[in-house]
Amino acid sequence: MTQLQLIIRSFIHYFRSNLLVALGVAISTMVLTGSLVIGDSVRHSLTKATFYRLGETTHLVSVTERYFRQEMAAEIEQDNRQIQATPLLLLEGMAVSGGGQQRVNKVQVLGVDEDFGEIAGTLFYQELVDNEIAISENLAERLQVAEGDNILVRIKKASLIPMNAPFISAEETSVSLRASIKKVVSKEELGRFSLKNSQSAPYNIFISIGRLNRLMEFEGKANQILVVSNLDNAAVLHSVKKCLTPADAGLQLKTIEKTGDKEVSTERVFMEAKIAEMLQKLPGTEPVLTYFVNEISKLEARSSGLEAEIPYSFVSTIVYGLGKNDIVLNKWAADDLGASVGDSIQLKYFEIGPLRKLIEKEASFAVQYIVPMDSELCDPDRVPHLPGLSDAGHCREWEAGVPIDLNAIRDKDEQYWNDYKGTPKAFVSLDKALEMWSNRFGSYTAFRYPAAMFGEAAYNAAFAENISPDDLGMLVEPVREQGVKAAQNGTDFSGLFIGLSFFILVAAVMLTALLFRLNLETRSAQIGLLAALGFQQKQIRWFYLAEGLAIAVFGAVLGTIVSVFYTQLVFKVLNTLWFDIVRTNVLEIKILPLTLILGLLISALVSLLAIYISLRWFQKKKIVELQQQVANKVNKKREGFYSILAWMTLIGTIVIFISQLMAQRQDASLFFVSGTLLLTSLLLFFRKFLLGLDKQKGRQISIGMLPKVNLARNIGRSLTVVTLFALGTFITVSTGSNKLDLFAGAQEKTRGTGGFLYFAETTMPVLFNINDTEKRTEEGIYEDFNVVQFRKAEGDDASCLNLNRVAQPAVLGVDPENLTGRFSFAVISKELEGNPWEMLNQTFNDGTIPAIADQTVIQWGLGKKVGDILLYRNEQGDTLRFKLIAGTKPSVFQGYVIISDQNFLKNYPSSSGSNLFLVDGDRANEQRIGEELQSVFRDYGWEMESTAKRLVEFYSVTNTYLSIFLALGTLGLILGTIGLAVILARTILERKREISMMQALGFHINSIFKMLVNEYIILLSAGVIIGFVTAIVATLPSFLSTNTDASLTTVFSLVFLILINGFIWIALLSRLSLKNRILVKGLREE
Amino acid sequence: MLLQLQNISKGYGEPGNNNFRAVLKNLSLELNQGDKVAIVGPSGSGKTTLLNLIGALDLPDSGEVIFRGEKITSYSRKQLADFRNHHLGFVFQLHHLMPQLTAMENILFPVLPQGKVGKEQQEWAEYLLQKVGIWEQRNQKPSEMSGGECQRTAVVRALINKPELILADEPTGALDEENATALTDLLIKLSDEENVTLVTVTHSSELAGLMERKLTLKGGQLQ
Repeated sequence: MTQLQLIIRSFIHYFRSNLLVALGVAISTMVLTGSLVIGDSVRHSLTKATFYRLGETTHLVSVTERYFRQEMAAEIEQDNRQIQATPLLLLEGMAVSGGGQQRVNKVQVLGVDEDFGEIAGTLFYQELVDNEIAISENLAERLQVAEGDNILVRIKKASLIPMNAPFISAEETSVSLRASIKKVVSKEELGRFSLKNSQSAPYNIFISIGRLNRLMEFEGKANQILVVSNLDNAAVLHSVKKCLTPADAGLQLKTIEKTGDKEVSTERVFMEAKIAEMLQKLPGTEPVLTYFVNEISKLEARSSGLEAEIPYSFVSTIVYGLGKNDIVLNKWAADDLGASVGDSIQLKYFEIGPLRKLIEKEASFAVQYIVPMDSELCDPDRVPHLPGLSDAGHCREWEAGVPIDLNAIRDKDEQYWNDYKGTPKAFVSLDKALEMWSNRFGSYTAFRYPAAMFGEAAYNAAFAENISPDDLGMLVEPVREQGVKAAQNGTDFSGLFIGLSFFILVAAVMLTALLFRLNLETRSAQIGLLAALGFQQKQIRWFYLAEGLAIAVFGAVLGTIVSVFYTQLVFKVLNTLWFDIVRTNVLEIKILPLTLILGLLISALVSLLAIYISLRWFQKKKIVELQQQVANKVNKKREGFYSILAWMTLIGTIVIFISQLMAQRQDASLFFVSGTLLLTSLLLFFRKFLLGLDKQKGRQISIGMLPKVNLARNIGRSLTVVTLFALGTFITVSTGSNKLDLFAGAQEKTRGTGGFLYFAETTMPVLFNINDTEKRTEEGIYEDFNVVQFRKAEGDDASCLNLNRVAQPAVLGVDPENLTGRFSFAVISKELEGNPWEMLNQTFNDGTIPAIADQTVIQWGLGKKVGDILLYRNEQGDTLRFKLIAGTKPSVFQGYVIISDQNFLKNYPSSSGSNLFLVDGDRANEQRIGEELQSVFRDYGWEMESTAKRLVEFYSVTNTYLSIFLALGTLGLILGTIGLAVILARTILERKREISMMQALGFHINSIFKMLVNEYIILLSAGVIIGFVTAIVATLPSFLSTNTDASLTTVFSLVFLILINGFIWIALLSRLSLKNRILVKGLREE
Repeated sequence: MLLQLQNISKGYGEPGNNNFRAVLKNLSLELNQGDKVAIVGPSGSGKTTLLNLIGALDLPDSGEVIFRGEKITSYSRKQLADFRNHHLGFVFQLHHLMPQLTAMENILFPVLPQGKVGKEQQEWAEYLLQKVGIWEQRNQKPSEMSGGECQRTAVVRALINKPELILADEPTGALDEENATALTDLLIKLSDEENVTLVTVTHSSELAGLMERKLTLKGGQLQ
């Protein structure tokens, strides 16, 4: 017989016992491999979702709040044949069906041309004409519509001019369209098209780009170019730069009829700084700034009570020859005012602040000279094109974006408009004009050049040389690469599930070691025999280890097979019960052979290690002990070490616990550390207690002491049961107590709701201040409430609802004063003194901008910490550095980075109005306020939810994770129970002679049952009490916090369930093993 | 009369089946107080089965076991347990001591079904321990004692409740000659002193020779 044969025979002979050990290995393999497969599958699904949302797109050329020529895409293709470029006009909107019954806000409206079909892999898109649209499946589902149905689409009005720019009418913020659904497009046809790194499917409406342009009153405009190319990002950027023309920056070149001069103006009314800088460098430049003033008056006339005011006029600039207090009037104005050289003239004008806040200002001048109406200066072309003003037939039709008192307009003003249109009536020095009217949108309205000095080629060359796509906020990004990277680096479900299954893994490995040790104990006489027969310790070890290896491999293979089903089960639950943490229906299982092998190998190795440790421990016993089957042999050195460790961990627990209780700011993780230390300490003390029972001097024999003595008989086993139950209880109670109850204390200002009633978002921006009394009356708002308005720069969703790793969450701009005293901070930068909200208005010396975000976003969404820098690009293409100065406790701001309004407007000047709102008011009127807001802002795509509910939605993710943890922890506890059951059954089997002898000595079966039950109840109770006490210590902040639903009732219920479960098993197995016991057999069998 | 076995039959397997093996056939036996009886016979003749029936560890297929005029075959399980505890003492071939208990605790162990260990029992145990010469080992566990010491402890354990009948199943089977002789002497001496009936099943002709009566079990009958 060879050694191999011996091993195989032993494996087969003890197959039933070995199968139990193998099952332990199989469970750990199933959980570990399953977790790895889940991770692979989520990564694979997210990557696949990236392809579903981008189609063939590899790069993206994009701008925000501005538009470029649609033809640019074709020009890029021509420039580089390796690039396929498709223009896209991407706008936001909302969709309504069923006569208003179904309403979906935040819909992407995509203006596509025939090339989009190539990206999507379908020719269908080129068939879209007029008001025909294609919609995504999820939108069709939400709207309950099908192909052929009509829906109402309301699209956010796109404007070439920033909507908050001075003198731009804000009356029309959306455009409506009754559209016919030509097709409901599937994900394979790019129905899930999205440029945001998120696995959640957006609601999409596809329409022809031409039609969308017309709806917006544009011609041939786009704001995105989808690029398909194998080239790197730099090559694509190079082509984009080459094809960028002044027209893409909104610049218009024209010849001034009156003088033949050339003028460069902008569609955006005010020239951006970098462009202005470039234009100023051209020879013969004459900057122009024309502004709309409310009144030109002659001070002398006013003081003598005469009517001497001209309402609503344009005033322009003269570069040279005027002092800051000088003014030039045209003849018509001078005559109207009765003014002559030297007279004092006053200008009244609006300075336009954030959210169209108007401040009327005045400036006084002295008339320097008067120009005739045929002068070069009296040129209507000096006035920029202002929709609503420039194209008005009469003054009374003006829509100027500022209040116009139509009664003030005189007939002669109408006549002037008829004769001269907007021709400036006065001229001030450029310096003074800049001082008065320079604003965040720009400082000039045009640049003029003498025809002789201007060359178009030189102009284009200067533009190409000085203006880069960055300067226009035009970004070229390798979106596919970024998307794949975000998916690959997204939430690590492998790690997550290994973490969540940690206890089950520990329990399975402990069970494996325990079962193997039980096998060894059964065969201890055999081991002693082998030694007695002259086998070397090493040989014996190898013999059993080889058997252990066979068991581990067998179990691991079994577990690997089962892991596939386990993964399927988890995915089924992820797509249903645990949907909150994935929020996508594209999850599919991806099984990589390498992962299976890896899981199998790791599990087999870990299990083998557990088996090896068991074996080593067993082999340390002396041969005689093995033959006599002595369970405990005290090693004084080891006991001394355990004793020291027990005391040290206990002292450590007390020190941390007390210091945390006394600390001003408690650290939940330190409580957890102290709980874990206490767990170790109590388990070691329990071990000591068991040893003490065994060595107790002068003890009196009694029925009551029997269970205790029995427990001390095999400390290893007893301790395993206690450890399993202590860990199980610890995990279950600590998890249960961490479940968040976010409705608790929702009305308090320091809670995650900030004490606000509602959180609302709109699709169309609200351009005015909702708190303004006059505006309220105008809009029909009568309820008493206050609104904090936020500006928003789009970015990726960084909340826990997004599984992808994002780098640039959406940015919110707010007046920090509105948030002072609201919310609470989890972490505040140590450098900071004072309230973090108040610090937001500052800018650090190096230009870094202070920012605040939800601590969860900082830590998990961004993988950063307070003090770190986030890099952004502002509208001018400059790199912005946001320094995270504080992280809020769980709040409604999850997913956003907050900066001050002041810093926001500096960097995103084109930002139009507010898209995000927090509503504060009397809770008693909550419903009425909500209804009014819904009704007034309905057409803005007002989407509102209670702040508490929004928090709950975010934390449903956290709570779902906790649920999984709890479910897997419970599964681990069941394993612990199985461990207990196995030990119980095995012990009873081993003690059958003892039990029979007791029966022979006159012990009634009930007494023996009680003794057995008591033995295991002591173990069960000790485990549960140790786990319970340590869990309470570990999660004390949760118990002290009203933010969680940790209550004594909850945890006591959990503990009660654990105890009942354990008791039932103990009673059942004890009863079963004693039932029909043939007394004689036990005594006879040796 | 202490014990009567009336027409006892006992077999193993299903009656009527081929595998049924009758071990005891209409066996009768009478024992008086203080009797010392050895039951001998070849292996498989049913000696232990007979002892188990006497000791109410097993029940006969037919016939009666009468102890002091009472039919113990009609006892409930609880009554049987009480009967064994109060009236019988067992000594097994292997000592069957509780490994987790010391010698003293093992000796006092049979007191527990009656409740707490009293002073009288404690003194009685100490007396017996000294008498059998294992006083020094009283606080040792079975794993720390020799085979002979363990078996002597088992004998003392059998006497702790002052039984009327000691049943010994091959008590010296696992001992060497010297220890076997010592134990045999001890059993007889103690049963004499305490006027206890002793029934022993043995292969040892030496032990059997020291008993007052020697019964041979053959063909399911005592001869």
